[in-house]
Amino acid sequence: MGNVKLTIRTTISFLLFICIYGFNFSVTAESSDRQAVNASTDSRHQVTFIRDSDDACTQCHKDSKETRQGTHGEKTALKLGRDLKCVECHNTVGPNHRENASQVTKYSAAQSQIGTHKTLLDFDAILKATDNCTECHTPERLQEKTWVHDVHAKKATCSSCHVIHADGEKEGMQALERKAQIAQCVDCHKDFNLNQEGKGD
Amino acid sequence: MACSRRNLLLGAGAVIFTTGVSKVAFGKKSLVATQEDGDKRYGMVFDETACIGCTACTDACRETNNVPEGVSRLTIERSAPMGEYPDVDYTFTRVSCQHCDNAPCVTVCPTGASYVDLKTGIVDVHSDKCVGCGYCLAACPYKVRFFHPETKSADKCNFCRDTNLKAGKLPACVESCPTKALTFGDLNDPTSEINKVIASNAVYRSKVELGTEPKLYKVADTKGEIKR
Repeated sequence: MGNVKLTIRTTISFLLFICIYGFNFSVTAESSDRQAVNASTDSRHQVTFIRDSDDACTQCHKDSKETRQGTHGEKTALKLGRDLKCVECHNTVGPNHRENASQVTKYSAAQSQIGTHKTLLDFDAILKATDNCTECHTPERLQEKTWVHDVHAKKATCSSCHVIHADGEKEGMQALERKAQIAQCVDCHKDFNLNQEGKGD
Repeated sequence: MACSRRNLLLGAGAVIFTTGVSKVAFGKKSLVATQEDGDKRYGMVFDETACIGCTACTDACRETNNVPEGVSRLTIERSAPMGEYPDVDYTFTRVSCQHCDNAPCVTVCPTGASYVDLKTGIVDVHSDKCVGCGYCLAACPYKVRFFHPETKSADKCNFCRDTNLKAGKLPACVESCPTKALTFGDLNDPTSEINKVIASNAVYRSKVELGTEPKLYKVADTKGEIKR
C-alpha cells in the first residue's frame, strides 16, 4: 500500500508542477498579447457620450454649431480640454423657450451712449452682459491685447465689435486691417456727435 | 570850418527825424509783433477731454501730406492705464509742431530753410534750402522735427499749408477727427471759433516758460497728473 500511496503522491505533485509550469507560460503569453493590443488601439476604450447635449439646440439652430468654430472652436477646446456647449454661454434656457426666447442669454450689440441705430443699455446691464465672456477673456488679458478694451468695458458689449458666431474665419474687428479698425472708432464716435448736435437744434 | 548854424540845425533835424521815424516804423518789429500785425496768425486748439485716441488724425495727416512710414508729423501719445477694471482710463495728447511765434528752430537754422511765414504765422521749411545739419531737430523743445527720408530735408507739421489749406480746406487732422477735438483758426480774428474755444475753456500751452510763444493750445484733461 505504501508504494501505491507514494505513486499517487508523486503523480499529483508531478501534475501540479506541470499545471503551474503551463499556467506560467499561458499568463506571460496572454499579458504580452494584451499590451500589444493596448498600444495599437488606445482610443478604443475611451468612453464618449453617445448623446450630444447640443442636439436639442441644433435641431432648430442648424448652423450655429458650425459658425461657432471660427471663434470658439478647436483652440478653445484645446485650452479647456473639452468642447464648448451651447448652454455654457446661452444659459437660462426656459421651459417656454420655443414660444418665447426672451429667457435665454443673448449676446447682441449694445452701448451706453445714444447712437442712431444702436441698442442702449446702462453700465450695469453691459457689465452683466459681458460677465460670461470676461470669465475666460479676463480683463488683464484683454488689456494686454489692446487698451481699447479698457475704455469700452462699461460702454459697449463684446458683440458690438466682435462676431462670436463667425462663419468659418474670424469676422468683425479682428478680421479688419488697422485702418479699417480706426474707421470703426470714427463711425461710432461721429455718430454720437451727430446725435448730440441733432438734440441741440 | 564850413559848419554854419543853419547846416548844423538842418543836420540835427535830419538825424532826429530819421531815428524817430525808424523807431516808429521798425521799433515794434519783433517776430511776435509782426505776426500779430500780419494778415493771419493760425493756431490750433487740441481738446484733451474730447480726444478718444483713435489716431484717425495721424493717418489722415500721413495720407494728405505723403508722410512715409517710420516718421510722422503728428502722433497721439497715450498715457499709462489709470484705475482698475471696469474703470480703466487713459489720457491722450497731441505731439506735433506748436508753430511757435518765437521759434527756436528758425533762430538756429544757418541757411534760412526754417522760417515763419509772416502772412500766416505758420512755421515751415524750404526743403530745397535745408542742408540737413539737424540744428533745428536739436533746438526744438517739443521734439517734433524729423528728416524726411525722401527729400532728406527737415520736416514737420505745417498745418497742411501746401495741401488742404491751399485747397481752402481745414487741415487733415481737423477734418478727420470724429469727436471734434481739434479747432483750427486765425488767432488774430477776435470773432474766430478758435478764440471762442480758448476763451471758454481752461487751456494751456506746453513749455511756455521757454518763451517760444507756441500757437498750439490744449484744453487740459482733468484726469491723471497735472499738465503744463
